[in-house]
Amino acid sequence: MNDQEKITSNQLMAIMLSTIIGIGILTLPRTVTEAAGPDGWMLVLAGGVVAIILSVVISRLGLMFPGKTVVEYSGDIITKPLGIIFSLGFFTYYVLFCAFEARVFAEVTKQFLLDRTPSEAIIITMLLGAAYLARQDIATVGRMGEMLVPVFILPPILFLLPGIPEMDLTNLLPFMRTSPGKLLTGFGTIVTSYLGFEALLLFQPFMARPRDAAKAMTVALISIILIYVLAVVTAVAMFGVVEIQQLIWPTFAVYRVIEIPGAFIENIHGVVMAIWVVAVYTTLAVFFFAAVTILGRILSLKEHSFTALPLALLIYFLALVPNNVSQVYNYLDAFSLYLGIPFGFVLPAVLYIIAKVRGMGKEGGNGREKQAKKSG
Amino acid sequence: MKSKLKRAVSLMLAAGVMLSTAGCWDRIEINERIFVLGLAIDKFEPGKDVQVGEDGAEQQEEGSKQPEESPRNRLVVSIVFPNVGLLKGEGAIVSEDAKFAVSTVGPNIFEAVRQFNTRLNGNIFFGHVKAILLGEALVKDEELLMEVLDGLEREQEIARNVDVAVVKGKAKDALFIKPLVEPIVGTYIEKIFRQRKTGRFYPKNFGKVVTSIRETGGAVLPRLVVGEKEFNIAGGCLVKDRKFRAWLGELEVRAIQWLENMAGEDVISVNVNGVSVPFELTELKRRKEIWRDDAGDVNLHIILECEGNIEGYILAVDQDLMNEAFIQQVERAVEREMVAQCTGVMDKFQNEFQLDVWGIGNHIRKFRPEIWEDVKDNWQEAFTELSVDISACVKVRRVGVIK
Repeated sequence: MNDQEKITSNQLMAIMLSTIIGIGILTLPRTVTEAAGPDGWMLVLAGGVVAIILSVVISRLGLMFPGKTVVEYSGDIITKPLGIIFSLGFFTYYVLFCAFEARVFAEVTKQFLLDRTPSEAIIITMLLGAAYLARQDIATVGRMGEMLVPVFILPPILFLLPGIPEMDLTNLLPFMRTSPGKLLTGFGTIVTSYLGFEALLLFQPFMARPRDAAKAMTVALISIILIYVLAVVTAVAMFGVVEIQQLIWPTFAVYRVIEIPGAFIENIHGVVMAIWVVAVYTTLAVFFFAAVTILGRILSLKEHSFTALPLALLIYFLALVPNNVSQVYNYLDAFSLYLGIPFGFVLPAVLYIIAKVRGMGKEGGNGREKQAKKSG
Repeated sequence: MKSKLKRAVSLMLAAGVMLSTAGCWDRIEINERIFVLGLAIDKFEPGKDVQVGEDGAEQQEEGSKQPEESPRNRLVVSIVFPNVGLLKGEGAIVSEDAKFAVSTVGPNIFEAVRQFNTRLNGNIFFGHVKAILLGEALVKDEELLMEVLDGLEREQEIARNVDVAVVKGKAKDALFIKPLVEPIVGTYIEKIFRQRKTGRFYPKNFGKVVTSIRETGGAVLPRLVVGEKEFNIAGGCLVKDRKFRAWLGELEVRAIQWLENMAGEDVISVNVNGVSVPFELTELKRRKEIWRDDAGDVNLHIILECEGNIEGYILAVDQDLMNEAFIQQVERAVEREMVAQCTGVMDKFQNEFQLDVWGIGNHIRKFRPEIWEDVKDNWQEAFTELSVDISACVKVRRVGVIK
């Protein structure tokens, strides 16, 4: 690891922004509105807070085992064989996530932009691009994040301005009239839109100052919460809670209404679509990089880069498994529920609790001394 | 030696990648595109469809034969597109016309559009459609109307903010006329829609129409009447329960918009001292108050706050429009007129159509959720029983340049 370059906390923030914002933001306004009606944006807020808490937990876990990624310290915490099973599961999770990312990307691109280009071609080009980045080291990923984050965050927000007259903020009323039970069921699906933050399990030891991870994560996640809330609020304000539930990708539909007055390009829809390609690329590339890193570490490879292309092939075939767009989203829901929530939220917390109980790591070591003193 | 080989291999690889990945399945040169500006959809009615295109050219699916009645022939789809060569000033190859209009018959919009592909040499593109026109017979056919609306909303090329109107008679005719002022019908309609100088039609875009149908069960669409060399967009077509319900007059449509806080400028003429006084409405703000009275009935009070100018009176020596008492007289008269028109429309919708076209139910859901809880299950009935009180507050600001 020492021969690899380190990332700064700014780069970690950029990686997180570019990873978490991907395919989820397109459907987010619909899913939260289905779950909570006009109160959907509060679910987004609550989901983000949970993600922040979990990323703080993950960063403290990482601090207990300096210089180690989750692949190594999971072995320390829950014994070697279980650790390998956990790491393999984690690897599978990222591979599947890549496949979904590539497939949804192909579906949306084909629907809106390239209707005659075969899905296979769309997926292959995207995967090759991502595989190229996955062969590099973490510092390259960090620099990519720093370069691309402003590209895909600022323009879509600016393009919303001409749409303000079309928006009716009263569509967000009534406030807090959704039943708590309904909110709670919806909450489970919303937190998965923050998946991606758990990559900190892998990236923290590569930081120049791992102690700053929690702060960087909090800042990144707060920005993401704001962006998500903005996406939900604008879509609900534009379409109302009834119509929005009919739109498969409401975030894009917003740009289908907005006209930039007097501009050469009347419909900015295509531009936003092209920008979104960048957001998907960054997500896919980071997940791909994570998968390659985990694999390299499980197999104790000195050089992980040669696994990228075979993995791209695997992801390619996985991406082509679902038959149609409806199946894609059904599988994606199942994936988020059965792999996303365990690997993003439950297992990191469990690892942390076990490590604490077993009194492991640097901080844990102090704890054990204290305990020893107490009992002594 | 080794580095040379390496360089050669990497060059070949790079060339291979570029050659195999460059190029695009979706590339269409801009001059190969047919930019559809207007789309008209009619129900196919055998016998009534005498189809004559421009220059007398036959616009038939199969030669000059009249399309026969068959289960496959359900819709007449017509498109209009500009003569791009002529507009660019490069001179057109085919004709002097600024636009072309064609029409075909098919079982649904999409198959009909594919039939254009057998006749037109360009790539038909709907990304710039400015207006969608629906024929009267289509709107009266429940199944076809819902099918068409779904198809149009599902199609990603057509923007949600395209203007939509119902044509009295055949929508196709609107595309085939040669308007006096603006040759291309789609743009012509769009410009009329954008003026907002009158409330005599209700300019609703496509997205708003489908939203309104989903949310309230109905919508008011603008009505378009085709003339010889122009057309007239005025009045409305009420769609309820998935199909045509009634035509609405121009003043009714204007009152609907007042009640929805949507109207543009307009002139209201009132009779003061036996003289017809035109009042120019420049600003309108509508407030809604909802409360429950002691008997538990839901009450709605709509207040229209208006501003405007007096535009004319009668030429005389002793006239004085600067007289405040006179101005107040005009204000009261306008108030009476507006309230009368609005009450009439509200009454019609409550009792005759039983349709909450203003989304009053939505308003209650948003601002008075506790009342909504009680009425949401049978809102349509509750709407008809709503006791509505409409009042107006008109302020005359200016009277022109003479006293």
